[in-house]
Amino acid sequence: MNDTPQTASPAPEPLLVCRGLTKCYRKRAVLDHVDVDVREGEVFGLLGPNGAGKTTLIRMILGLGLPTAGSISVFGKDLFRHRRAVLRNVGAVVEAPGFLDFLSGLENLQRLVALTRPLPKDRLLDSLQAVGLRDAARARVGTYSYGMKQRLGIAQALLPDTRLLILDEPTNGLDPHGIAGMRRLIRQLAIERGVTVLVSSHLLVEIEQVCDRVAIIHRGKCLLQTSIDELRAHSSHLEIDVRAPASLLERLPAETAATETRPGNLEGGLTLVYRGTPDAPVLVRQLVQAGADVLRVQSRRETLEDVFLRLTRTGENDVRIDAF
Amino acid sequence: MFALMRFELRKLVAQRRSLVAFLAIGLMNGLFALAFWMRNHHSGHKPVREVGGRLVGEFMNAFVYTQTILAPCVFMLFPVILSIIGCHLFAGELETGQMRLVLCRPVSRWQIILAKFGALCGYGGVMLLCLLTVSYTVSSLMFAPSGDVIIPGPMYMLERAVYILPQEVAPQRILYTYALAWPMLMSVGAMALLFSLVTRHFTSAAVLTSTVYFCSYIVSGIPLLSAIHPFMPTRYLPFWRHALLPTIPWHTIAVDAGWTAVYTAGFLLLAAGVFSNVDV
Repeated sequence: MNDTPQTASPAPEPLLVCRGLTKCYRKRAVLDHVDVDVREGEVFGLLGPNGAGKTTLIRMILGLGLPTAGSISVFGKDLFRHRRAVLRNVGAVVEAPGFLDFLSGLENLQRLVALTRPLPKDRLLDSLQAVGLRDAARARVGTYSYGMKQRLGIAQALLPDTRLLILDEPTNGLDPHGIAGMRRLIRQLAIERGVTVLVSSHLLVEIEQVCDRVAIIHRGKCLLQTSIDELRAHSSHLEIDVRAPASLLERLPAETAATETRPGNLEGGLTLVYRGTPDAPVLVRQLVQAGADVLRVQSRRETLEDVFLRLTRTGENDVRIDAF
Repeated sequence: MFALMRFELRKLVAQRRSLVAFLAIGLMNGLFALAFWMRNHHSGHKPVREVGGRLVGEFMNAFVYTQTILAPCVFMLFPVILSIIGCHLFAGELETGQMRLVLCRPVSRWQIILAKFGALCGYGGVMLLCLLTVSYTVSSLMFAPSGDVIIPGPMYMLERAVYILPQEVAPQRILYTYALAWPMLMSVGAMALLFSLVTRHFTSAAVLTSTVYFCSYIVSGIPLLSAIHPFMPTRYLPFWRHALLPTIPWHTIAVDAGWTAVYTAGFLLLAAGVFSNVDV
């Protein structure tokens, strides 16, 4: 299910293109033929449970690991042939950023950014200001909290001229204010500075609030890639609770057949689920004519969480997903 | 590359643990100074041995002290320190995620290896310079600042038993030995980088580097294992000691230096090969 959002204007050119990306460790595929397109100026979310392969995918995109198969192109250039040129405009925070504890935040920033291009101290301090670390700029990183280190990670990732920002679980370890601030910052970067952001998370709310488009990764496979708006538009469905013998359902005409049938919420009933945009009155009429007692008709909209759980739940006994 | 090198040097300078080498040099000088002083003053250690018609006690001067302290430091102390510092610089960073931050920047893995190797070389050079300066300063305060130098051959793995370098050539020879000991430390540094990448674990890498280094010496010292001696890096590494012979065998030094360079380059090439295929 690789949906492409249909919009009136042509979609922007993909800034990052992954094709058939596969990574195997001792014959075990951690990424399995993953295709991802990230367009310029958007905030793209990688959503998946822990161990789904999000971080591995990000590492491949940054050239921190070599894929077993597949290709990655960033800014229209092959990553593995032009890695250094590509990384001049890419900023990233992968897992917990490992800064040097014995240097100050400012000096860590200064030394790291200088590896791309030296910047005046004012710009470094501005960047620290943007992530709320201006006052702690000259304190040793060893005295920083985990959240402060995360924010320092963002500050260094934004410098010097980042066009593509890659954030791996950026709100991990942040307090509620920090999380809200981080989400605001990501949106601001995309809207005000035109930075393309690729953000991974296992938090559905985060992805739903922050991202324009999302890819759901599960067990190394990309199960879905679509825009949040598209997802919202196409995630509505109709649920009809009926009381009817099983034989009746078999006799229903094809156009009345449900996408999914499950035991009903009401005692002794069944819930018929119709995805897409079914005509409710027609369906009800046909069901009644067939001899079913219609108990309840409800139009529902799936949240991203519902979609995520539906796509990543592989069976009744899949405790890994349901137990978290 | 310049920024990367500066970064690596800054890491070494800013870390307190980097000072351990200088602490060790201080400690070594303390022990040597005490031992030399006791040899001269303690009744139980009267200088009775005779070399070239002179008592050993007559050779207690700053040149002898500065030359003698080099052997234990370069054979044992500095390689251990350098392997620990080198492994911390590389394997430690791989473990803590610092390497990932650096690799997200437009730097190649080759550059990282070269920068770290350069920083380790600098560190090794500073250790030698510090040893030379501190040793000479301490000993010249305690003994005569110059004099003939007694060379006990076995201590430097030289064939001749004991001989004397005259005062006129001694300073030059001391400087030669200190300078020529540097490539040996560079080679140990390269080995530490290689094992850091192979194990990607600080403790394992440091232990492995020291083990390979000392095992190589041990094997080189067992005549029964002579068939393997030409392949042991430690056979060539301490070529600095040849500068202590009455006539310097420049050809032997050149050959051994060449092999040391080959081993060092080999360690670095292997490290680069491993690093380019490692997921960080």
